[in-house]
Amino acid sequence: MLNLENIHKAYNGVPVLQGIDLQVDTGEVLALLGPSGSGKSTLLNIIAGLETPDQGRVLWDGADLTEVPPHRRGFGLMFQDFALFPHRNVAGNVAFGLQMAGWRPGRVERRVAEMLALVGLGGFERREVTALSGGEQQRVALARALAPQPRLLMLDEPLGSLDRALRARLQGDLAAILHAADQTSIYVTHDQEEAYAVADRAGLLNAGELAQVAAPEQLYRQPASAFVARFLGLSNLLPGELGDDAVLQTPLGRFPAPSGAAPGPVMALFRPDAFALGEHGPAQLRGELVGKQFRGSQLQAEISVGETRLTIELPSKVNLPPLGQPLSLSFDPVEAIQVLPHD
Amino acid sequence: MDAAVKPPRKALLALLWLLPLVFLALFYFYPLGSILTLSLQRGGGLGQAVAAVLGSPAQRSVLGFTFWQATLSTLLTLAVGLPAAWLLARYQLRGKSLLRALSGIPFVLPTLVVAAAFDALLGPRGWVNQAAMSLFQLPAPPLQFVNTFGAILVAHVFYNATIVLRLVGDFWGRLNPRIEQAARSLGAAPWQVFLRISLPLLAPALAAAALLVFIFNFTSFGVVLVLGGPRFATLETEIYYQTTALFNLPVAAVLALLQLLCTLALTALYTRLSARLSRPLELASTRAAPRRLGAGGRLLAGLYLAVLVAFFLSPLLGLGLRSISRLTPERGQTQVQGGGLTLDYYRSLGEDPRDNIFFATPSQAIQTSLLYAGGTILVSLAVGLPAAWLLATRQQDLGSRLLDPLLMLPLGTSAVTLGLGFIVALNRPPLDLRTSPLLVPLAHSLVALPFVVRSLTPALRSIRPRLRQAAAMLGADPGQVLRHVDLPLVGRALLVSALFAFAVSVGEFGASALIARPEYPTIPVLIFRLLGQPGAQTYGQAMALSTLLMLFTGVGMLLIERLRIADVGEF
Repeated sequence: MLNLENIHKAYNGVPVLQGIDLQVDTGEVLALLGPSGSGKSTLLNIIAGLETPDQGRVLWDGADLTEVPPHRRGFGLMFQDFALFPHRNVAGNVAFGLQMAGWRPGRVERRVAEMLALVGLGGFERREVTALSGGEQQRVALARALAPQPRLLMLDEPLGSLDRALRARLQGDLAAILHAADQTSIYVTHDQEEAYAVADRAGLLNAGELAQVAAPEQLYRQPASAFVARFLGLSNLLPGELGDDAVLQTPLGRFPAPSGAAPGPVMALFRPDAFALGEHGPAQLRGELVGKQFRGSQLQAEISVGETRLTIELPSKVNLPPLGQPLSLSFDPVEAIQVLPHD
Repeated sequence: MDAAVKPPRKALLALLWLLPLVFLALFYFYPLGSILTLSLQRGGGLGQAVAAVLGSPAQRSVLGFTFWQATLSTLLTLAVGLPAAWLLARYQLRGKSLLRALSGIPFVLPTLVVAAAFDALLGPRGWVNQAAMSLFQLPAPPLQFVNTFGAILVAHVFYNATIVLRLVGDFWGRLNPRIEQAARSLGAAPWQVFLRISLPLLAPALAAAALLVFIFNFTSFGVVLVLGGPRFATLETEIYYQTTALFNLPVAAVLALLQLLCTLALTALYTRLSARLSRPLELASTRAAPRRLGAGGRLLAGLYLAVLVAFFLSPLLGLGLRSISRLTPERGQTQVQGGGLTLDYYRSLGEDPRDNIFFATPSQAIQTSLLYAGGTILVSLAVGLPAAWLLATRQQDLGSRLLDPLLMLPLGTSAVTLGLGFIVALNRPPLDLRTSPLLVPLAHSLVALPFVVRSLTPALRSIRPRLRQAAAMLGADPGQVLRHVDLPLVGRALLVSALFAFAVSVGEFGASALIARPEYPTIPVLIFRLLGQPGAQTYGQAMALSTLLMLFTGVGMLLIERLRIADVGEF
């Protein structure tokens, strides 16, 4: 079990990480999400021991690893650019960690074959890594990182340098491999769908701080802040005021507030999937259709209500009026509106 | 910063900077500075010293001949090389790559080998004259080649044709042929296309190649000395003559200064030109599909290329064969020997042909050369490795930007000038190295340093910090990282550098001719002495020694070529 305690790191006085606390349980795959520049890679390097924190501790099963050099931590790291050794062939790359651990040659050979079979590259032992395609290099890098059975495997945007189609195919494989091996992992990515596909839990980094750590569904259903909501593509965020009378004042009108929120200025999140056409729900809005996008089973509609724009998702069998026409939306405010702290 | 590879401490870094800088200061700038002081010794400024030497008609004609032979050699080289460059660039021909490879061989051979090779082919005891004499029962060799102006010119073309072939040919090949086709479609005849379109487009490449050839001809030493003979003097041979025969160091110093100024100006010009070459104007995105020649054209081209191949091959083959065929003794010699193949000359390499106390045997010269080459490898790597590391890892530092051109300076300085500088500067306190066995390796290291640094720097640069981190994450401690990642990746480049240093050292003649001690001649110095001696036995020894030297350098260069092709790049 990995524990990070109050990790701080700054470069030339510019803070990059500001008090990170995080726990990764044994066998768990944790995705670390965040826009570029949010400190994901720095955090990974600190856990790996490639960089030292200015403050804070890295613990494994309670033992302090902060001062332990990278090669004695028993952690694995799969680099975004794979960093395969160009002077070693596929087998030589996968065997490297095993050789460093002092495995006997016969055992190394068996393990290499096993790992290559696991990543779907059986029989690739003698190939030169420089002659492999991007996807194949990615698999070799994964096999190399997995082979010594690291206590913790870190993957730094492992699919980042691959094209989109290949990425979609490999992220499923990757998730299956990590879970089959019960591999404790931290998976860094900036792509939320990749995180959903691979991870048990996801942590969202924002400007050096962890904005939220939760299971993917929970992250999506209950974003902790406007930043999290925006990052996950939930764009209907409106400034509001929560009164003492538990009424939420928004540009779209006054609605009963969900319980538990403190009065004052807030952000109101209108969930895109909580609206229906027509006038038979507890609350109604009248607006004008200004855009629509067909997305297979769903239809994404842009609706302007006065000065405000809403993006909503409807089943694609719904018949929308032509663009520019007025329409009515109905929704249940309790289900559709979430109150988030003002940012 | 990554903690896996700790940044070296300041003191260590300073030491790394100092090593190449001190080396250059002591063994490049100090000797050249001493030449400058010596030439200004007689009072008056630089201009007065030059004027004094040029006041003598003899020295004026030396300067004049240096330019004249270089110009003529360059024009001839262009005349021989340009048609080949055009054929290689535009047409699909069999034997193209063979010609390209063959033409490169002379370029890397030591001058003494080339001189000996032409002697073996066209000299008085060469194949052509021997054949003519036995065929037509002539009493004397009919072809006078050695000690003629023609010999200098032919050897220079032999040496430098590859520059025109490669530099101009490659540029030509990348020129978009559609431009020429467009000119044809607008009504231009082929010769008009060449004059008005191709030639102007090629101009920068042509000028760069011509200038480079000119620089090499201008500083050519061994060829002029051995093939030109005593009647022809260039700045280089005159410096050598003034130093070794007349001991007139002040005059030699002024000549060296003159030489230095000329080469520096020419090199600066070349650098500017080649910078323009790297910004091509109208190049094809991919290499244009080569065309095929008609039947008549194929015949002509084939004939021309065959002659070129013979030109590049015959002196070298002639040399090798000469070293293993028995020579008919000259008139006046009583000993009668038959013709045929023999290894006598190789067997006799251990014998002193002259019984002179200052005259080492060929096998001793081989030993000396190999020892010096070993010393050169050690010194040039010891200086070149830190320099290359600094250039590779601290690209942005002011020091790197200064060091880079400084390291290339020896390349633009003639070896004879370097040798003279060593004689002038390093023969008295504070640095008296006259009797030091390191003197020759130090001079050779200076010549080898640019090659060493140029092959090490990219290799060191190609090791991304990521690879070291990856190794550390797989459990490799810093020592294992060095052994399993750094060394294997730089190993090849180290080997290439060592081979360069070796090849430079065993073949170097200009500096060695001045500073090698008489009782410890290097291989080229001894070949020079042997070629100057009468007698079939010494001649055979010279041929055998030259053949060995050709093999040494040839194998070295072959290894370099092979190792470099498989160089580690980024992927």
